[in-house]
Amino acid sequence: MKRKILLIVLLLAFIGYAGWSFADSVTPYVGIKEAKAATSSSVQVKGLLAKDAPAPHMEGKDFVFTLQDEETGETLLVHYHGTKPDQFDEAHHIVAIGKMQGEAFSSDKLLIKCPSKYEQKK
Amino acid sequence: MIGTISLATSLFFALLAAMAYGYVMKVKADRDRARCWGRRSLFGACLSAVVASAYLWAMILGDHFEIAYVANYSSRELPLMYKISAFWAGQQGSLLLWMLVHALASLYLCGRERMTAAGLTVYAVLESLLVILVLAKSPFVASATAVQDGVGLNPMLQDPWMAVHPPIIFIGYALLAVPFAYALGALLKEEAKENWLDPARRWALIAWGFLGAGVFIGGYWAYKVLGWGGYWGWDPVENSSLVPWLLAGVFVHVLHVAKRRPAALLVLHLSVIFTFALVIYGTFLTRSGILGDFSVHSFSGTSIGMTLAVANAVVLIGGLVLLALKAGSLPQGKVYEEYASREFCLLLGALLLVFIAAIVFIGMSMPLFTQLLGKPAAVDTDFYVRTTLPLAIAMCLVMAAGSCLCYGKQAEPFHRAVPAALAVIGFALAFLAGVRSPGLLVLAAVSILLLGETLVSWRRNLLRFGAMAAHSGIALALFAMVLSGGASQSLSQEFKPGDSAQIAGHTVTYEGQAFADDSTMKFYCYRVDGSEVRAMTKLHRNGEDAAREPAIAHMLTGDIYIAPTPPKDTGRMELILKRGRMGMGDLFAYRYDDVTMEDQPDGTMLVTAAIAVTDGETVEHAQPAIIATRDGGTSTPVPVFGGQKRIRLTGISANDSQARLEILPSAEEEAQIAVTASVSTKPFIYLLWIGAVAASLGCFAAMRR
Repeated sequence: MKRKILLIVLLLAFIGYAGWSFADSVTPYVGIKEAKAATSSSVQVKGLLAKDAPAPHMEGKDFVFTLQDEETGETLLVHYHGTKPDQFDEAHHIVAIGKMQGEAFSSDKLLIKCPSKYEQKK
Repeated sequence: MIGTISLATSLFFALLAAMAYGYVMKVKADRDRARCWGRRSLFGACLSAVVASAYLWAMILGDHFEIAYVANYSSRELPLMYKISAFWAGQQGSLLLWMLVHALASLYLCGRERMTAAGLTVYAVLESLLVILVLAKSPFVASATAVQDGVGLNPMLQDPWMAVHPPIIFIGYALLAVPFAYALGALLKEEAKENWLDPARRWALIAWGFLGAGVFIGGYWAYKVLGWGGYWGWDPVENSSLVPWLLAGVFVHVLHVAKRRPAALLVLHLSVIFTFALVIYGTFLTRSGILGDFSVHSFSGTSIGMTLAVANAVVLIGGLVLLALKAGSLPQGKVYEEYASREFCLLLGALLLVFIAAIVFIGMSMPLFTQLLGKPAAVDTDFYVRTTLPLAIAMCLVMAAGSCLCYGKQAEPFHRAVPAALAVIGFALAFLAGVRSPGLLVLAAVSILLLGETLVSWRRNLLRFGAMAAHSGIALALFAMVLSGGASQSLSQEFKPGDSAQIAGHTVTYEGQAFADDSTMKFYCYRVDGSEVRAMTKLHRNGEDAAREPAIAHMLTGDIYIAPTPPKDTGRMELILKRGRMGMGDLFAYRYDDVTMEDQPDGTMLVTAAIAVTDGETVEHAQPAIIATRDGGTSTPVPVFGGQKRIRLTGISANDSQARLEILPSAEEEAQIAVTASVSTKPFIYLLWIGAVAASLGCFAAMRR
């Protein structure tokens, strides 16, 4: 009986832990306006590479570029902790995951969406 | 035409088979004739599937680009091996392959009373569903416009591992239908468990082995080709094949309990229903386009989503309703007597697998659920790592305990010294290798404990060979995950040819770029402690990068992984020249004189520009050309002034008044460009490959009675 209780307590504790981890790692999908307000928790923000902004370049260990909201035209400076990803130049949309740090959006992960030559849009 | 007709015939026969076997199941009279009809129909359905597949292959090999699928995934120049694999390069072909494997398996199942009429009815219904899916998104649709040449297979996927990965996964998916049919058939006829448990177990093990091997090959390819440094990214596409694999594991293990304790049959039925439902759910999630913005694997939105959702509902709801109706007839009783028994460990292990599956399921489904609620969101990959780590630790302990216990009451007491020593060894090894994270150190300790206990139990005849191979494979793989991830060192820096970097006691020297003679590839060459490794970049015909692969040096202590990023400044420049006017490059001046266009027999057009090049004293004439097709063109650089520069024609304006040129540096100059690369160590990662192979082979070995 004791062992059964121990087991149930362990399982419940784990479910609680999993729920907390879950709540902690949910990253909502937002536009650039909301992304600018995301200073405490991570978000995913989607945009186009801004045309009339400084060209994407390296600043120290960060790869820096500017995202532009497809609809509102608002822009967002992104500091990506890494080097220029493959297929960045051919990118149609870019999704950056991270949060605001000071003036810039600090991102650990980028998803590059290409107008794939190999998967034709119908 | 032949393709669509074969598919329709296949659907007709599959439905006929379902009706014939349904008749055998329900009606007493004329059983033999109906059974004969059922078998003939299954043969007919299978023959039609073979014809449809052979037709698709013939269309691909014969370059029939009038079929949209062939135009989208093949091209004239594609090597034969990848033309064969173009069959399953897209979703339509993958589904056809799935249907083909399903139909081929039915030939074996319907013979010699291997499966009951009830089981075959379920199997034939599933076959009909699959054919409907293929018909809903047929690979035989004609191209919308006349196409001269296909777009070809993504160069990144032109790799032997990627050629075999999809069929292996789909064999796994297709064969999981067999235990599903056995289980539901048994429910329908309230059959004795002795009749179906063993064949269901063997089929589930084959499917499990294939699925595991497929998942592993996908990870190995990602590591070897993609160059981001890992083998698993918790991407929805990866997760959707992991969940059925985990649940198939539940089925295989609970089955052993059910053999001895009939009350476990209820759980067994649940596990097989969910396994197969999640196979279809995974396909739905990754193929319906719902995850377009969340996954790095780009699948564009398609119309097949609804059909898949319906198929999924049929399998899940159909299975669960049947189970609910028949639950009363299932045996009741205790599923275990004592905690210290193998039954209990098997069930607890199964519960842990369900937990892992549930976590991965919730994570990968988040975009879908939140989209339905109107506020899309995804989970960070951190979520998976944090939650599965404690489960993996518990899993190792349960597996180790279970393998040294027998069913029922225990004769021998637990021994404690050996496992404790093993855990200390695992902990010490990982610590010495450089792992410092407490969670990972514990996982290393319990994985070595599991490895040792598995081998001991095998020596004591408590585990069969297959189980021993699979369990030690999993233990080894977990240990390797800890080392290769937790003890990895990395650096990122710019290398000029001749530059070196030190990492974990190894010297990495960059030696410059090299080009293959036929200019289809270029290489970034490195020397790691004296041995040469090269990172390959496949090139488009116009000289641009098509796909990059990292350089990997294999050593006894693991891999050194070098991923170069394409140089920022390639020394290339673009010139737009008005007809008859001069334009300045950095060494020479260029003038666009004339253009000629010739239609080629293969439907393309050869556009040749006459360009005069001068260094101020002498004038040279070059003829860069584009082979223009409907949707663009390809052009090769031509050398000028003895190769000091190379020029490439990239476009001609509509009225011929302007030409666009790209000026490239000489091949030698290009080889001297500085290249940024990220270099990392992957300690003992080969143990992961060995473990994964052992785990898959273990499944096949465990199939023996």
